[in-house]
Amino acid sequence: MTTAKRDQLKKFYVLHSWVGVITGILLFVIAFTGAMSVFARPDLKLWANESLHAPSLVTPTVVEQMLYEVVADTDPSFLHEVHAFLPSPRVWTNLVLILEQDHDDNPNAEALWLEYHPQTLELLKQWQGHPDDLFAQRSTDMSDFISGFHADLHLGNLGLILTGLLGLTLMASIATGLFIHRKILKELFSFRPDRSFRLLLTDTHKVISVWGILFHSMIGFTGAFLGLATVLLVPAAAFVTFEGDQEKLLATFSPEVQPERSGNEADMHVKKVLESAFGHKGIHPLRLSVYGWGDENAIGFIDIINDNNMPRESHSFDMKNAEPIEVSTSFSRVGGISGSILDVVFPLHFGNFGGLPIKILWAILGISTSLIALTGMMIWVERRAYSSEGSLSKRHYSRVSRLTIGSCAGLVTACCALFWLQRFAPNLVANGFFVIWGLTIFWALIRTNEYKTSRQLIGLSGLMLLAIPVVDLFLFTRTFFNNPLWSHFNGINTALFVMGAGLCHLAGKLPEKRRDDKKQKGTSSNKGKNTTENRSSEKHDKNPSASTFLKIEAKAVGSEKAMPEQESSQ
Amino acid sequence: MTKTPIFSSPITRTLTVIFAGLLISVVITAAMPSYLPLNQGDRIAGPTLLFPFIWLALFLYGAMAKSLLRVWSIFASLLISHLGLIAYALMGN
Repeated sequence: MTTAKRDQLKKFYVLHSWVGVITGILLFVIAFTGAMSVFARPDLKLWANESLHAPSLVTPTVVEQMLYEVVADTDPSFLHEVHAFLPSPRVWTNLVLILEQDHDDNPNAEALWLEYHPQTLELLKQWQGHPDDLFAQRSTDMSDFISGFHADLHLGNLGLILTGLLGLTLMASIATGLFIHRKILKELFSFRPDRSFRLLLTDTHKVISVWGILFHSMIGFTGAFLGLATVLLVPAAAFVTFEGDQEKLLATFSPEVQPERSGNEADMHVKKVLESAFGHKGIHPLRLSVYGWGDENAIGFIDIINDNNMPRESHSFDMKNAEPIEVSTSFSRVGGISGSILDVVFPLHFGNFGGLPIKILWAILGISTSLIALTGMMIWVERRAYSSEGSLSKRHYSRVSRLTIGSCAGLVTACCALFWLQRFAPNLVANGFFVIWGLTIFWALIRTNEYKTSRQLIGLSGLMLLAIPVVDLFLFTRTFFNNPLWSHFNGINTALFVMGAGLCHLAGKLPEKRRDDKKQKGTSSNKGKNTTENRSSEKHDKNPSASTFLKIEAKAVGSEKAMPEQESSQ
Repeated sequence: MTKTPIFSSPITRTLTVIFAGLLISVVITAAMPSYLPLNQGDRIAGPTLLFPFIWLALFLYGAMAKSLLRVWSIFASLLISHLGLIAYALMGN
């Protein structure tokens, strides 16, 4: 290999390391909560809300009756837009009716919110106020919390920018990683868990990265797009063509259009329209919106999740005679190739297609993305704390290691605690999560042995999951597996039990201290010697699939040993 | 033997190209609809989909180039030319 090529590889390696170490912990947080968010809807939502454990009484007939009753009792100015959000584990757990005044010309227009229990149809909540405050009225649970945390870390626009940036840096890490490990086929099968701890980490990092490269790349791209779309990309796109008017841009491409009011009254055939979407296998209606209620030109839109189609569908109807008009998707009005790509970005990111098998695959691959970040951080610490790459003392790197373990294993513990918070303190889900996570980080930082800490946190997480199904047996008295909803619920609890057992098993397998500590105890004062020993064991490894970088490193010990220290000190 | 470092200021350079790349790719995304010869939908949505790849290209170039001065001059040229295109389009030409 020429010096120029070696230098280029070294540059890619340094870049890969620094991007990884700057974003590593945050990438773990986003990837792990993303893997959990895959099941947020419908699985976790169903698990979290008792109102969804029995079949809903909400049928097309009931929705029509209730809408007519509400419309009769409401000021006609509120009939500009009439929405019925249907109860299901997908988005809304209760039946919510929303009536809105025309807010295009009137900034003080108001909206009315009426929320009903799906089994008793009892009015649970009534609210009237500005449409901007509408969605703050929605009751939330642990599934909303975890998917919201994954999307923006509950930091609003700043969080969206951060998660979008993480998607971009994940793409950069993959690109630089590809340059470093160009012998991809060899890396696919290069896993040597019994050689040394560092080799175990590097092999795990490479094998997971290479096997899941398509998934990681897709997640990086879609994550960057979804994170930055509303904060930067839509404003940027609207800047020239629509002179910065984002509302105009969205209205141009929105599948829902306001009808021209004729002034002639007509009956609204809500029941007939809804019947077209209810009771069909693989079709999940989410919402009916009627624009121009009571007018003969009124148009209704039903939002549907269709298991056989990736993008969310919007079916429009002439409300006067319940005739279908067209079926569109969220971005079908954009047209061209961009519209088709935009339509699949969201389902691809969250695995919302292909049912449970895809969700399980997405969750496993999502956890593998988080493990890449974790092993990457551990490799960074290993190379610096136990070899010549580090310019600081071992104590400093140990702190980074403890922070990594506290943040990552602590996040797993806090996520498992969410199930307990949902059952026993549903109003404290968000605060409880952050307190528990903060405590685990603090605990990890004050402890000296991060290996023991990770064992204990993983073990605690496992125990929490193991106990949840047992707690539910006492909390809920319904018969086991007596209806499809309960089969789903019990299926989730069984999965939690299995995952709990898996985490306990993993905690038992994790080492209590660094595997190579014994060997290095006598030589810890002589970092250079220790490094040479470690590296020569890797160098003498005759396995032809050893990474290109290990070879470069081995050469660097002799010829350019001081280089990484020079770089770090700059 | 003194050796020239192969990579100047890795942390500063990495952080700089992450954020400078972000700024410039947002400006490019905003300006691209003014010159892309596509239908309205693709002209507006296309650049937003290309954004991550534009950023990645800028990031890799900025991080790998030998001379930081050259990186800054290319970044500045891209920024100024696309700001000019935006101004030209907004003036109604």
